[in-house]
Amino acid sequence: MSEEHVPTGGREGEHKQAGGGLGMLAAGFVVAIVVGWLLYPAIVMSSKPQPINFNHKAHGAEGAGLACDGCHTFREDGSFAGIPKLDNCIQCHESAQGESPDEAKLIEQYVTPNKEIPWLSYSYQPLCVFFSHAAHVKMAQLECTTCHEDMSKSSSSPPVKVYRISGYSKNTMSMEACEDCHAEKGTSNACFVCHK
Amino acid sequence: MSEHHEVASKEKYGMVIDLDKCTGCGACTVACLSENNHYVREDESDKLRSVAWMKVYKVTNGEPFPNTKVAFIPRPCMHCDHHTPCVSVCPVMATDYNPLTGIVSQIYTRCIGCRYCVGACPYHARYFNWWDPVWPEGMHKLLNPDMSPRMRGVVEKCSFCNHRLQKAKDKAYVEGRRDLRDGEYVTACAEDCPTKAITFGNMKDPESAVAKLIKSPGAFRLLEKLGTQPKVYYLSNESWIRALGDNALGRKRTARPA
Amino acid sequence: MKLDRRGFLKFAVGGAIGTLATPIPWDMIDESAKFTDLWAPEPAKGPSSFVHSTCRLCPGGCGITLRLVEDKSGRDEWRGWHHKEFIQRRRLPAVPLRAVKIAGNPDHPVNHGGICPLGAAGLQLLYGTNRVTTPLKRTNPKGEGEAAWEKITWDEALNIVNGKLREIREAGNPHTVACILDNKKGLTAELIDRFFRAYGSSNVITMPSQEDVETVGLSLMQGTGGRLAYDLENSKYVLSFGAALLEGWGAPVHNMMVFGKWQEANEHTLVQIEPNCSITASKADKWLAVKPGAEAALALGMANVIVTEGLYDRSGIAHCQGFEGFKALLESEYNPRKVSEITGIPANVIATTARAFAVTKPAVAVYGRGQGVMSGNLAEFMSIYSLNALVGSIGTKGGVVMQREVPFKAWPALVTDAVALQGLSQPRIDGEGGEIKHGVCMAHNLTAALKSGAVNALVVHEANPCYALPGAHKFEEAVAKVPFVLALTSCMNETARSADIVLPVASYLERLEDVASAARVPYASMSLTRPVLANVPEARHPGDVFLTLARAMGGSVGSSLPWDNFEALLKEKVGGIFASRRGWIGDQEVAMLGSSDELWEGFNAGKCWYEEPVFGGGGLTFNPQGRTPHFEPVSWMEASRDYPMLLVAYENINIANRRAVDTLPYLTKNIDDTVLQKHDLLVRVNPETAGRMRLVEGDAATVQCPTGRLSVRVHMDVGMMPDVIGIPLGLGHSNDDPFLTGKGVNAYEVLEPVADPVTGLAVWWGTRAKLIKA
Repeated sequence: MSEEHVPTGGREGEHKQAGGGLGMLAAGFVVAIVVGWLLYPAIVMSSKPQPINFNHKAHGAEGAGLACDGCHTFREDGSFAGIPKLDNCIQCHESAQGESPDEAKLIEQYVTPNKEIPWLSYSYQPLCVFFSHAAHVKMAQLECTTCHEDMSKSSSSPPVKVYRISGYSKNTMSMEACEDCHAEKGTSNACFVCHK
Repeated sequence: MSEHHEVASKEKYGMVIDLDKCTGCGACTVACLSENNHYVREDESDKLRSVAWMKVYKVTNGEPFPNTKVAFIPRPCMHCDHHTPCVSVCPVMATDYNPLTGIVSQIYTRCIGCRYCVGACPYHARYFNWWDPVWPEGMHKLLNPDMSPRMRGVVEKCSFCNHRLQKAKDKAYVEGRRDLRDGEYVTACAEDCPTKAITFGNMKDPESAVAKLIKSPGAFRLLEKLGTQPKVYYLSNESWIRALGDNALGRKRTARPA
Repeated sequence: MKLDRRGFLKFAVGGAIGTLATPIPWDMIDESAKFTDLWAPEPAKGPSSFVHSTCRLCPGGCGITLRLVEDKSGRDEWRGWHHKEFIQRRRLPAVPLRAVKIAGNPDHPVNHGGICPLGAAGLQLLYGTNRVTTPLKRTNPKGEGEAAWEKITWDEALNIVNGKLREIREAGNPHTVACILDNKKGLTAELIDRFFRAYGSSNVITMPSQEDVETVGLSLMQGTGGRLAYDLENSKYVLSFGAALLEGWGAPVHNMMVFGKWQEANEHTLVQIEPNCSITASKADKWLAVKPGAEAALALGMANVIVTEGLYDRSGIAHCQGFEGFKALLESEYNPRKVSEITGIPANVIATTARAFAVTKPAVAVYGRGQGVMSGNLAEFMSIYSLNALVGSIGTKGGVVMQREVPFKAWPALVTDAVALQGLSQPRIDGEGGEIKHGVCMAHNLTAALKSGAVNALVVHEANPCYALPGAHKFEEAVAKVPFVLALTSCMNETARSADIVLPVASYLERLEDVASAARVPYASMSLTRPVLANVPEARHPGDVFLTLARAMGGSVGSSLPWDNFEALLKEKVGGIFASRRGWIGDQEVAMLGSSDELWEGFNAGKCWYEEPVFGGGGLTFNPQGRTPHFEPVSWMEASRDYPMLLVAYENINIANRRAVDTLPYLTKNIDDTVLQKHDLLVRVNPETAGRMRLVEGDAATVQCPTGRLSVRVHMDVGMMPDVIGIPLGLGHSNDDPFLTGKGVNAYEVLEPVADPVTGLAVWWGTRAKLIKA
């Protein structure tokens, strides 16, 4: 059976190989690339807009002149407050400062009813992670922009890309990035330095 | 794993438990359960599967009535300093010895649930999560945000409240300090003990309470003959309790976990 | 182009290679890892704060520190996946403020930062599954199967209660209303007592406690009531007659703290006198295994040694009365050899212990049995208390101290009308003592009173008599016969299940209330429980409930309770502490404060008021009304043919017993498997005794008592006295709590109180029994 079959099969195979063979391989490759880079993110991630389009530029050096730690503060117990609470906004925006529609929205929807703004975090870490801002900012004197995007140039808040399965943001820093930097700077990579 | 001793660090945390003060009330266990987000099953009487990182063992001198005496041995993880048995057997490095602090870590998200470590631990300090963690409606509100709850299928154990160390360090950092003062970082069990039987601190700081207590004449460790060098020390003036500490088989008395 | 198999495979291979050049595989590995991470719920993060309050779960009154976590994120859910329904994202409601931990408050004078397991688990009461969340009205008749409930509003509930109480009062029968409280300490209890007196009923009855016999004994021997306390911290020789000093007696954490100090100082001696090897007995320097119930005889034997050898405090005795008669009785009846026969303690041990007790100063003899719920007879108390007079330890540092009252502003005069006076002139339904009259409550008589139909309405406030009165099941049957039963409780318990109306009261973490003077602590103190957060928004302060009812009733009741709310009353009362200029609040002297408001602020910041113990007043009468301390056996102490063994109840610090709360879930991890195995309670029996009955460890058995039978298992305990069965109190609940219901049996059901012939008070700590292999 094999004697009969091999020659014919071989001929047909040669023919196809010569023709569509590499083509199919390439086609598969191209399709995969397209799916992986263009379609896949749209499928696994949802894009959630921030409740208010926050203008970092207008608040920072080029605007109101606030430094990062003007709003992103440490608490007395050493923990990092992260995204500021409404109280922080109210200090300046008790009433409207300008004419931006976002500020109007802030005052109407949040300041007046005294409702906390449900900001979405770009860098929310999984629950097994302990990230110490104090260690990085106070002790190691790292700039915020070492890990975070430089927001001082941005005049809008891009939507947060959130994985549909885990609920974590696309910008969530990976353990690899932490480890690499720690290794480079000679800081311990022991598990309990960053895990809880 | 012996290389970890070569790292220069000013910290090595340890615990001293005065068994003569311990009344076995179990406040340490509850403090631990509450601090470390433990759930409770409707039936916790199967003690082989009941998870308690800080377990209080009841032992007796075995003498007949009326010369009977009981004592209690609270047993957290010993955070063995030498050839840490669990670390040696973990195939995925889910548990590791931290040379900076001497604390043996357990990373639940990395654990594959093979339970080699459970078998390797001479102190029964490791527990496997046989069940999904369940909190009754509303009870989840008491979860501590500093501690991650564990999922089914992983091994867990006492961490010397490592998250409290992380928080204490953060506080020191924002105050511009790198080193902690004695008493700034204590475990939940040590904090809550009503007889103050548990002392916790940095053994490398000669001024710390633990460093002084481990030099007491009545100090001993469990199963010292194994050479694992636990960082949990016990104090007792009762010779029968000290004898149990090395599981004195062949002698008259044997420990009976009750 | 036709796609054949080979072509397809090539396409697939190309696709696979291409995929490796995309984020898909790496992303998916990452995602699946993070997904499994979410199999456990993720606690919401937020800033932490710490608040001081006071624990009210036992008479210990420890200062506590609550850790609160604030979640202002505005997110509407916690993260995490439901473990059972994988696809359904677990939705846990966001909580703006939650309490995550209770620790001891290091600045509180009672506990100095320590806490007991029950106190540490207190949040499981706040967030418990067993909370009553709205007022409930019973929809089926009592005593006919499981209770069925209808949720009603507070207005509806209070209208019903008001209507019932009015109806009874208008018929001229206010004395047929009874109220059961756990105890009469604290302003809420005093307010309730005042409510019923103004209404016309003196039937506010407390659950049995050791303090009852102490109160009667002290008023006889010293002419004053007062709260008996002990300066254990400064005592060098403590002779404890069964008090579970390290297992929940008095102020548990305070005692344990003192014990820790004793162990450090190494100059204190603790002698524990009790039949079985308890933790206190093990931790004591000496354990005297006395025959159950023979404690009084042992005390008198020691008194004999002290008196005959002239070791007593001569100058102190000069201020006492009746010493000669007492001495004569001791010499004739209680020489060590005779006492040795009664107690089982060798004569030489009695003598050496007595000598050490007499010569070590200061020394103190502590009366007690277990945690302080069970009690013996008056003669027993008098015998033990007399030892303190003999060694001059009454009113001295390191001895017995009368705890002073917190100088609250006095209540204004009670307003009464004709109906109230008529009601108050009626005898109390629980009877008023035996041979001697006293005002102490005798809750053990309630079953008969309820059965006789003398009670038209029963109000139970934060007590659980259907579970925790000796002979509980009989009481439960009697309650079913009462026409109207109201229960005020924060958690559903056995008594609430027998009620017609259940009102949800705020837990101790949700209400403002005074916690005065920890039990047995030598000094007066007061700190507040504070409304830290409201987990059950519908739950109300019981004081406010009674004030609202008083307003609705008007008349003498309304006039007697004119305060708008409990806070206003409390604030007014605290003014008395300021006016007294006594003591300290935190580290500030009250006398130095400018106004009562400053003091009030201090209390509301979680500080504790306390004053130094006041010593003095040593004299007593050994033979009041001709009653000399003597040994009086209780009827069940004598072995009988049918019941050769003695069943003795004991308490375990991890099994909450009769207190404001039942055993909380965390504590079930602390209960030994030698006490509870699945649904079976294990009784403690000496191996020799068990062997005679061919019982081995874990065997099922029946404890047969004259009052009933219990199905148990057997734990062989070498520390048990032969022929004695030890049974823990606090198990065997049927209260819907999944962590408690159906676990073990309720020992209260077989413990039958015996009335003390002198006082009429209940003597109860055991009963005769037979152990039968099942």
